[in-house]
Amino acid sequence: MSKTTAELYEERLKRFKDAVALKIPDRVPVAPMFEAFPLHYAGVTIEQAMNDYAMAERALDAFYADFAPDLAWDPILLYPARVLNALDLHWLRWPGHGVEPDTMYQFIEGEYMKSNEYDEFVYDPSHFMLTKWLPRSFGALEGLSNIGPFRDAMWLGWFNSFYPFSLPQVKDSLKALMEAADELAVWYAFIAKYDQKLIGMGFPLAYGSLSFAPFDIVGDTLRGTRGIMTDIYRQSEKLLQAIEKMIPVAVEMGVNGCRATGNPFVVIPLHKGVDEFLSDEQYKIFYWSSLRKMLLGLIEAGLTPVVYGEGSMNTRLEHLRDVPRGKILYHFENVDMSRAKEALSGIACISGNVPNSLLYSGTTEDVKDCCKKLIDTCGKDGGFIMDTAAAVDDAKPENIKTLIEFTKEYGVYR
Amino acid sequence: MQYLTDLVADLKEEQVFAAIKDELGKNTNPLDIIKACQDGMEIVGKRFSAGTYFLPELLIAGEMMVQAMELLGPTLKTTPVPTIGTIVLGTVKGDLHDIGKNIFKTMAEANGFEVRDLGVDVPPEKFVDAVNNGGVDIVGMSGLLTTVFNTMQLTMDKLVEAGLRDKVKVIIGGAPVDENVQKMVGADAHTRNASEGIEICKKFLEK
Repeated sequence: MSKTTAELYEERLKRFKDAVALKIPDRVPVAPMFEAFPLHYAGVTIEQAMNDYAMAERALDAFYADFAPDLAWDPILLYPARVLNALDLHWLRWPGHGVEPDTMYQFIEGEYMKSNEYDEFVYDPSHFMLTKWLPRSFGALEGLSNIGPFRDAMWLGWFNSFYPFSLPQVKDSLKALMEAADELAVWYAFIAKYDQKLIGMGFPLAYGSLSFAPFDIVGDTLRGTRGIMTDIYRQSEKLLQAIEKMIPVAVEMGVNGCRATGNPFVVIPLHKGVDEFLSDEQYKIFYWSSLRKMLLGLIEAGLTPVVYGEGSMNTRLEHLRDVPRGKILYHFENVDMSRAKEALSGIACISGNVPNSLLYSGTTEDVKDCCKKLIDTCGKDGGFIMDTAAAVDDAKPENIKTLIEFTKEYGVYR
Repeated sequence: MQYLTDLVADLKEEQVFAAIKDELGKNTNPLDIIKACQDGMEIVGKRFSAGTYFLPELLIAGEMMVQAMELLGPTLKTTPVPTIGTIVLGTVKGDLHDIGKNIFKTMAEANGFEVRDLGVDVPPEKFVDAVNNGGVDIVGMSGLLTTVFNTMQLTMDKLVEAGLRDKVKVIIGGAPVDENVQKMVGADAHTRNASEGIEICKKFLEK
């Protein structure tokens, strides 16, 4: 007798949660992060999906009709082009706006906070974000640079706080913001509806919220790679202050998002702490110390951090051990998985590592061999989830099918 | 000028600039100054390979080298710098990331290569044109996205079509490239590490 979708939902969620909690599930869960792959599979371009939510929906429907991983990704990673266009977002290029119709959007590095602005940022991050970061990030929001602080609106300070709202450039930006927000609300409603649909199909959602390591918050969106890396040399104290300031912000991002979605998984893509970027000492001081505090904060809030390591992290494994047992999932793109298993066994569940290049260019036999090796090496006694090295865009469908089906077959715990 | 080499290797920015100005004031041959800086950069590269230097040090060294060349700029117009080989370099079409490419470029130049940098989002035809311009030993294709393996392949096809494949060595670089991608693209080498990439390029020239 086949299971109901509600049963499937509970079974998949339990399987995943058991693996994270280091209990032995019925089999190795399989839960890759799917980005543009479902679109390619259904013959929908990224540009179409980012502009026409119904097309994204059709593509995902087609994908989930044919593929059954344990957790599902809704179209959250296919950002709404109309919102991006309306706001004239500078730090992204997306299909129809700087990249080809079927090329994934790309982040453009820049210095959205200048090297001499640390003090201002640390003093009042909200005001900095509102009047510096937003106008620099969005062409349509340049007028917001005229807004004054609200931290001194007490007594009649609000005379000064309110005055800028009479300026035409501020009004224009606010109008653009409100219009874009309307479209954003349409997209959010679409996502929420699709999440219900996934649940109806028996798929638990793979994320409750996304958040970022404090070092990456400063490095990715504010100072840029070149900026933050040279700041390690030239102004390490100020950099550390900013990172410290972002710890509760990173926790808050995770908590608020999960509260909204009702799902406990905080996916944290890691960017700038890879092997080649920082020495062990630099990693410890600038990256791991704040990331660890963030993880503890999320765990304390009852959430499950899904630490999504991008790039290579072989030299970081010892540090990653220093967390509460069975509370975190560590995903790895590129590490020696037997070493990862050895280092983290009994501490945290691990996942990832099936090379995207193999899924794109290899045969189904190659994929089987790779998965078998991973299950043999990492699957022993639980604590392992089958996952691709990185989010899946381009891959041969038969290879994705093999990844999922082979794991279901070979990954059974007896 | 070992002292200048050491200052560069130890990333003493201010002292390096002061030393260069000082040497220029003493009418030292600018090529000797460059050589001293390049030797320092070679040590930086070695320390990176050995795992004592990382990205912050590479970026500081790169910025230092750019400023050093600016200081030397006026004197170099009369004395061209000899090079050991020429690399055509670019981030392939569909990809706009350039940090890795730029680090590789700085290190290649510091190691005596002439680098013709085509920038980011470079279409296959542009690589072909650059090789057609002549004097090119190596083509370096960079990419960070897993979605650009295809464009690397296309670029290679265009080089083959144009009958240029045998005239150059091709190296691909970037975080997601591995032997699978190298095989698929048909490149001569792959690397995820700028310093290793330079060593590979030097070996290319020996053959």
